[in-house]
Amino acid sequence: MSNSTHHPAAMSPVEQRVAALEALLTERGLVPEGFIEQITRRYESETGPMNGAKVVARAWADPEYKMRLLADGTAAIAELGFGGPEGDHMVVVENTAAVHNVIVCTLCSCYPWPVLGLPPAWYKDPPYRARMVREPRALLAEMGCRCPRRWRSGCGTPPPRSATSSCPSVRPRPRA
Amino acid sequence: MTVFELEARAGGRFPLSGPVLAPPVVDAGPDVGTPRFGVGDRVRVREWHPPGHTRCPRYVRGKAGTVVRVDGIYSVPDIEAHGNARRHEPTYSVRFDAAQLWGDGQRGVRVHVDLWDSYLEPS
Repeated sequence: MSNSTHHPAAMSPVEQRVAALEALLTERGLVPEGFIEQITRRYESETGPMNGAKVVARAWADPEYKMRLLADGTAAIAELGFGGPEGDHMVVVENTAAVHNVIVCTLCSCYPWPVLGLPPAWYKDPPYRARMVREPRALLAEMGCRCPRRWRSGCGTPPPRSATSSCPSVRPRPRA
Repeated sequence: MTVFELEARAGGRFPLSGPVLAPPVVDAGPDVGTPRFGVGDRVRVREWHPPGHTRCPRYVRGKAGTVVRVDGIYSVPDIEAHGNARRHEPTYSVRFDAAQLWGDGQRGVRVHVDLWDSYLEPS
């Protein structure tokens, strides 16, 4: 057994607060036993960008599915078994030879969990949220995605409802 | 659950966010069942700065745009966040020219923002 099991590193203040909140919620029966572990497992190993990749690949291979996907994203994504919290109202947009779409939630951090998993930290950072709506070409270029001037850039904020819109094919990736 | 219980359990300070400063909405008014705007309509976002929660970004207030999609009818979060009252309204995706939002002359960039009916007026 590793030493760290017997002598774990001291918890940081935020970890202590999370542990305190979780313990009290569980003791009061406000959170069912095992619920947090179940959610964590689901979003660590069962949900992620691989789901969105399946949706996009299906749209590439099946023109009728692509039409359904663009017409009613929520329903078409549900055909592949993906849906749930933060994916209740999905809008899918298409990149073309002349338009590059990028999604930013300037008000909070809405993100399409069912098809992309939990958002990466940079997506939630104020600099990303402020700059992507203000100067998308410059920020995309910094992230390794160059949009020629002749392209239009369609910068969309997700629906301001509880849910979100996204196109899994256009998520910019930060340069490692 | 109180902050004192949380602090006792956490072994230190447990700061919580402050109370909502906006007064609760008592009369939300009637639901809006029919969209006032259609695809292609020019609209302007009301120049309106309510206290408290809203889903109307400040950078579009007072700006004109074009409705590009009419979405479903949803509870207005500005009301829902401040009490038990509810009002449901149509929502729209509205397209703005980025240069008009930021006044910087950038070209070929459009910003789409999803907005509730009462945020908008005809333009």
